[in-house]
Amino acid sequence: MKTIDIKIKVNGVERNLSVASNQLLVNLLRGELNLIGTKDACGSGECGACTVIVNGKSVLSCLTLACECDGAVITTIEGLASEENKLHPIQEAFMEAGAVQCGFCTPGMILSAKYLLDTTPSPSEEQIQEGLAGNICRCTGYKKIFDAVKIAAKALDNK
Amino acid sequence: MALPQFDYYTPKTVEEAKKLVSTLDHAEILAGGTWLLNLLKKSSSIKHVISLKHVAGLKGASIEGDSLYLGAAENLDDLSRNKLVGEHFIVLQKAINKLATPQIRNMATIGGNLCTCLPWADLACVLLALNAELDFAVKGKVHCVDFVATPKKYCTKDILVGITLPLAKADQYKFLRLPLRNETDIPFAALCLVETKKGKALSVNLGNSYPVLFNKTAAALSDKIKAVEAFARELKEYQKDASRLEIMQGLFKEFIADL
Repeated sequence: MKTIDIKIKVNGVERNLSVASNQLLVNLLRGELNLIGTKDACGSGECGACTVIVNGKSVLSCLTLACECDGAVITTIEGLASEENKLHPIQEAFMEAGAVQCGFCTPGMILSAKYLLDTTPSPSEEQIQEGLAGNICRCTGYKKIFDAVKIAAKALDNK
Repeated sequence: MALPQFDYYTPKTVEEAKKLVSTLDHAEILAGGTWLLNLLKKSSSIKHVISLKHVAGLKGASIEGDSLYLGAAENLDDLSRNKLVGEHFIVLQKAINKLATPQIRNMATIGGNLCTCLPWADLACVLLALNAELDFAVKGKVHCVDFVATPKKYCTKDILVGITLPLAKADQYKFLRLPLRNETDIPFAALCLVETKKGKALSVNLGNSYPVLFNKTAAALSDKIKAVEAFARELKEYQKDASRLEIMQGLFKEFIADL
């Protein structure tokens, strides 16, 4: 199969890659770039575990062809912490609220929360619920996750 | 999960895309990908994927004469945040925000919703009430009423380029969808009412068949009792599933309660 040359910026690092036309973004991130924080779960766009941010928007990497990302700026969970390895305020908030149990859904939850707070800095309870509607947690229920987003919103507002 | 092999095409113009669509067999169009990628995971019969990503002129919203023109490849999130859509068609904005999840809305396109998701496409019901006209690369302009009745006829070997909505100040509009949760559930049913100076348009998404305009019910809306009776009669013409009749009638009563 023909490969396609793409240039992408992942977590601030520019990469020139050759990808097969049928390669999924989630497989490129996990398999080739070793960014295994992005989870491959349902594979059909229903659970949100594979959520990454592409050009500022939260998208499902299990439903995205890698070749369609040519020129894109991509952020995965590994790219949220600062260069000094200080956790992002949303990551801090998830720890503070105890919003992590097994952790499998957490990268997707945090990136969905980031997109929500980037577009709606002071979300209402309803907006938080709607903002995370595309992410499923099978462990904790959602209260602590919603609490974490509220804490993060305040922390980011104070920055 | 690995996808089957296919050839990937990136036309730059509608003409190039049109040529590919009409000449390649076992080809599918890739716009937002939320439907096609799932299909590719289940089917190895697709041999060619034609991406619309680089095709010029398929995005954005603009006023053209007395209409609002929407590019078919505009993603739903951008569309719902578009100033012109918010200014002229709040009902469309509301319907988009009820559709699927934020990630899906960030990826999926309005054209994809119409061409891949009927009969349950959320937006067809609204576009029908808004008297939309669809612009296809090969078949030209098609009224939404004709499109929703036989969408495959229009979408096969063609590309939806844009959607035209006549500008008409709505005196009243309403959209109601079941289930009420804004999650991945496809709609069981939806109702959309748009009232302009020209009259009232009520479109009904029956969930298991294509959305239709309930003209007699719309004409009776000034009298709620008569409207409920008219709705029951029109519903029976289109909905043969007895279990759905009662739910739809209940939904309609809720819909008109505060009109």
